[in-house]
Amino acid sequence: VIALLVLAYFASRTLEQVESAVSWSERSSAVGMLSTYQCLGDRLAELPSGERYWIGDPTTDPAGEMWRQRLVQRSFPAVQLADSEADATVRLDLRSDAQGRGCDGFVLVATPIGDPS
Amino acid sequence: VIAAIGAVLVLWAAGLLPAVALTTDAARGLAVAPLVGGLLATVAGLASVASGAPPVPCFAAIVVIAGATAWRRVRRRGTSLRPGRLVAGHPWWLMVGVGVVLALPLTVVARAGIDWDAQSIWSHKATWFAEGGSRAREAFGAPQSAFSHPDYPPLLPAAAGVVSATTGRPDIDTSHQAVTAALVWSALAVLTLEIMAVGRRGARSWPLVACLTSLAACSFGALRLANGEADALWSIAAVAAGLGLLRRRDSPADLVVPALACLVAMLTKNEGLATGTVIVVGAVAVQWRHRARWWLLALPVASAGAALLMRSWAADPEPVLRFAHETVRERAGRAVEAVWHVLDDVAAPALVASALVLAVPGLRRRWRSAVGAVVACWGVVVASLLPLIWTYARGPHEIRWWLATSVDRTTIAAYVALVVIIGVVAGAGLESPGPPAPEAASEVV
Repeated sequence: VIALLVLAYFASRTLEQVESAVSWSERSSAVGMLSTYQCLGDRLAELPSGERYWIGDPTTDPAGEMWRQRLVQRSFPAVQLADSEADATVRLDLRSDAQGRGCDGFVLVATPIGDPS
Repeated sequence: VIAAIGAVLVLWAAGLLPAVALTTDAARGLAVAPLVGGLLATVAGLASVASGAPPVPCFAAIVVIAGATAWRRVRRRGTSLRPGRLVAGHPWWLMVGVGVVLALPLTVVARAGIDWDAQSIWSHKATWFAEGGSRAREAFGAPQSAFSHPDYPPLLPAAAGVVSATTGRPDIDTSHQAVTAALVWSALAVLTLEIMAVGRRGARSWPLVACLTSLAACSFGALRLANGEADALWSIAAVAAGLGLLRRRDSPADLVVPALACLVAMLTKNEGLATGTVIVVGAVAVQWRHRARWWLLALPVASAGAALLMRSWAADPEPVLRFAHETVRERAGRAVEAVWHVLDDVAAPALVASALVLAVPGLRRRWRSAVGAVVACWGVVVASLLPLIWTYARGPHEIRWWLATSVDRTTIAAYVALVVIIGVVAGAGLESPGPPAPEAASEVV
């Protein structure tokens, strides 16, 4: 009987999760992200060689892990990545653009490091 | 909605006759049909990309060949498909009720949208399989496609892509989610049937306990059942496979459905391939002298062949031999801690239930069938967690980020197996003592 009660508890948790998920009507933002991903990848492929790049998202990915692992190193190995921001010559920032320009409203901003010219 | 219904119907129709022929039981056949349809679509998808032929003729040819072979087998055995035989040892209305209840968690598919990994890894590749032929081969081999992991196992994108192509490709994301939901329902149904098989045939309490257990097992996060990801599918299929294969069973026919589930797990994700391989090796070792079990060893060989084929198409497959770290122990420790954090609320009651069955002599004798099932479920827990911890310890990613973004879905198989332990003990406790019920003549094939 105790085992049945435990099962009933977990089954009720399942039904709660279902009710919560079904009532969540907001469409997932991930739907549009794939084209963004590919679009930004295309921009990365156009970057000039001879520089060492550091890329990250200050709010969600400060260490640049997602970009380094998932996109740049695997899909575009020609892009020369720096091991750290201090070692980089160009910093790339992923920013949302209020006017919706770039890749579905995201833009890559390149900022030279250490040399104002 | 039409795209979703069309995809599910195609999947079901493609697998129904072979499923009935393989299981020799119409009730099991109905439950297993989506998984068999998914496997046939996977073969068609791989054949299309390998040969350069379009996917729909490949699928049609494979379904016709499988259907004709199945029909001959059904006729030869005299299997009847009359409604009166849709019982599997229980009233047909009870089995229909169980099937409907198992569909309840899958109503999450009504939630709009498809998640990030589901789209970038699975649904995106489904578009390649729907295209088929040389264009799909180009997509697999393009360096720009690496983010979509072209070297991952084929079942989910191949099934979704081929089925979607068959229905005229109305909306690949919708078809993908519908196909995933149908496959997960089928895996849940197989799990329920395997839990029922632990008890005496025809024992009235087992369908209800098994159904409640499967419903409880989905509490790992119901949203993952139908968000288009592959984790729930391989995990539930692996537990059904382990429960069916890691016990001593005398009839080779009892191995067919769990073996199908094992094949689905191994063809769905790399974690499923590792877990399924351990389960198969364990299944052969359990009854080593039964040569009728040795054919199971062909399952991981076939699955590894499919995985190698996918790797050969990818431009930059992930290394099989993982990276070495100086901090392997520390990484493994963090992984164990994170895994326990996800599993602790089901592990505690499962440990108590296991201790009751395995350590109390009176209960061990009285609930003999439950003993084997509990041990089998612990086998699945070990088979799924050992490769997982090893991967986290030696994998390429920063460990904290990696665990934070994945551990709740990579542990689903262990979670489900632990819930099944509780269910098996509940079922054994409710079952009235007595000799095994004689099998009804009408149910014997």
